[in-house]
Amino acid sequence: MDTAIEGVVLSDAERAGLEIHKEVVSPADRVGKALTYVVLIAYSLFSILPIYWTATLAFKAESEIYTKTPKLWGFATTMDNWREVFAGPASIVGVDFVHAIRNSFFVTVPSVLLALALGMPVAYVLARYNFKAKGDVHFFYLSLYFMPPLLILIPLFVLYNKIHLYNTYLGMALVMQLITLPLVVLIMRGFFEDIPVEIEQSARVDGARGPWVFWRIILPLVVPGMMATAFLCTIFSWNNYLFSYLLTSGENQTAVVRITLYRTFTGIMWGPMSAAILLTIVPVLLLAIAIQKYIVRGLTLGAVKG
Amino acid sequence: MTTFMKRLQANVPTLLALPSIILVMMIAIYPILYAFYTSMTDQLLNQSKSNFIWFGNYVNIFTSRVFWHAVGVSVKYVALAVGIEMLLGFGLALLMNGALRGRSLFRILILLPLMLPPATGAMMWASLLDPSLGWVNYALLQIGIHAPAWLSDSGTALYSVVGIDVYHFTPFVALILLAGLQSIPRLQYEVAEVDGANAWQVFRLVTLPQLMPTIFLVLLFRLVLCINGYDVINVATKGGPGDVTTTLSFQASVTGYRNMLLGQAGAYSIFMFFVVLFISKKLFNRVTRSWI
Repeated sequence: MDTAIEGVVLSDAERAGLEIHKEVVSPADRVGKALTYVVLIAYSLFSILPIYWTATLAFKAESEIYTKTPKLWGFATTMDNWREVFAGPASIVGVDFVHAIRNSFFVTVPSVLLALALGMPVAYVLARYNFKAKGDVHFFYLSLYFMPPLLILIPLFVLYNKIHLYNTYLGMALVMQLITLPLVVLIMRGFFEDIPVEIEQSARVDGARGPWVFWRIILPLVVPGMMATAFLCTIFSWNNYLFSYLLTSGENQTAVVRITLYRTFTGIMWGPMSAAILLTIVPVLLLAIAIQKYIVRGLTLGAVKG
Repeated sequence: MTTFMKRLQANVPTLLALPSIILVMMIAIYPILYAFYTSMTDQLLNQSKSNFIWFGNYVNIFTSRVFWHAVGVSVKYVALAVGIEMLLGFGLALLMNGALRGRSLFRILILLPLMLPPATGAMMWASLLDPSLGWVNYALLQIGIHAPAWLSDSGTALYSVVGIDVYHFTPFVALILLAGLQSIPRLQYEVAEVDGANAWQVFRLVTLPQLMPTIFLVLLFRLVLCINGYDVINVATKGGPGDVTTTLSFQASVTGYRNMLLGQAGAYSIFMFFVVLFISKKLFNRVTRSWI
């Protein structure tokens, strides 16, 4: 016990020593350091400029928007744009944006749940079984993700019209699997592989059966990874523009597509549009920050563990 | 145990994968086969009858000015966007890899554009770049620069959409390469230091070779997804002004939906399919190690 505490104190002292050592830096290093911060801060400002600008437009009165001297701060604020966005069927522009958000929700939630239900078993098989075509199966799911979308969407448009899936939530949830299914299969494969085989084997030795082992031993261990994957699928599905643009119409289109409808024949309604944009992106950005620990792994479909 | 149960157990992997396979058949394999077939017919969007014309559509597009123009725009767009994204992203990753205070805050701020829907991001930039009410031209005017109408000027439209692409996807390159940099074993750097290598030598002999698989991986993702890109152009310029931003994937949709030539649109998409397949096969072999 005592030696352990001593050990900790010693390593602290060592660390302090190292820090003192690091403090000795040449002027050239200091300039380089300052430049690093300047570049990174400049890039961060570039990153948030469009988001901040949109936020100002969402709270600006019309006279502050349609001006030659736009202000980034110190402008008169109004809630008119938000009232218009939340007006529902009574909207002046004619865009029932609350309904559009509802559409996004009814497309996103089933598409994520379906991807988990279909993809988790495949991921488990890829992680735990050895078979000849394993690499090919992996490449196949990756190619789904890489497929030129129009190659699939134009025929699907024809097919959906025939089998009455055009303009439906079900049809959207199904086509969304082109993106969400590869995400689940390839990312979850990595998470399953992270679990030592021994845990599973010892459960089996204790007499547990296959499905039971999966539900009670394996699944709880991958829950954090699964949640991160589900959130990433939510973001991709929510953000998807093309599928809804081509496979739904009118009132059934998702928020990301309906946003562009604030471009009317008489001009662009920047104020309400900006409020609608904020309403659409803020939940997604919060989700993204929540899973940022897993983001590298997710975005490379499991290739870089991050 | 009955033979049935035994056989069932032997086929557990197949059974587990079956529902997913059935769905993929419906939403991907069938449409792709259909596209292959229609690309050899004179199918129109609004008619059910069609004639089989073998490679007529391919001959047609390969000899058309419109197709080669779209190829040219796509090549320029992809080369510029992916080139800038790789360089800028690599630079940012190197900067963020050093001893840095507030790295996690920078990571979050840089992550944000990547998580925006590109279609929405394009709208946001359209308002920032608007010549009459946008902030960018106003700010440039303050320092004495009369800026063009970025997205509607035929001289700047392509560069502007490239810029929007760069805004969205440089973070992808930066974050993945940063993760790659941070997974290089410290020991290798220490060995190089003991051997008296200077900063450039360390970069060339340790960092770069170790990072190569990750660089190829990022390149694979960016090349393919940039070639497939559609949203930004459809929202920001609709392929215009004129046809200066009409990329292959935009031209494919115009051919299919506006001109209703399903057969020709099929030929466009099949051509893109082979381009993407070629690139991913080439690069996938270099990066398989990362997955397996």
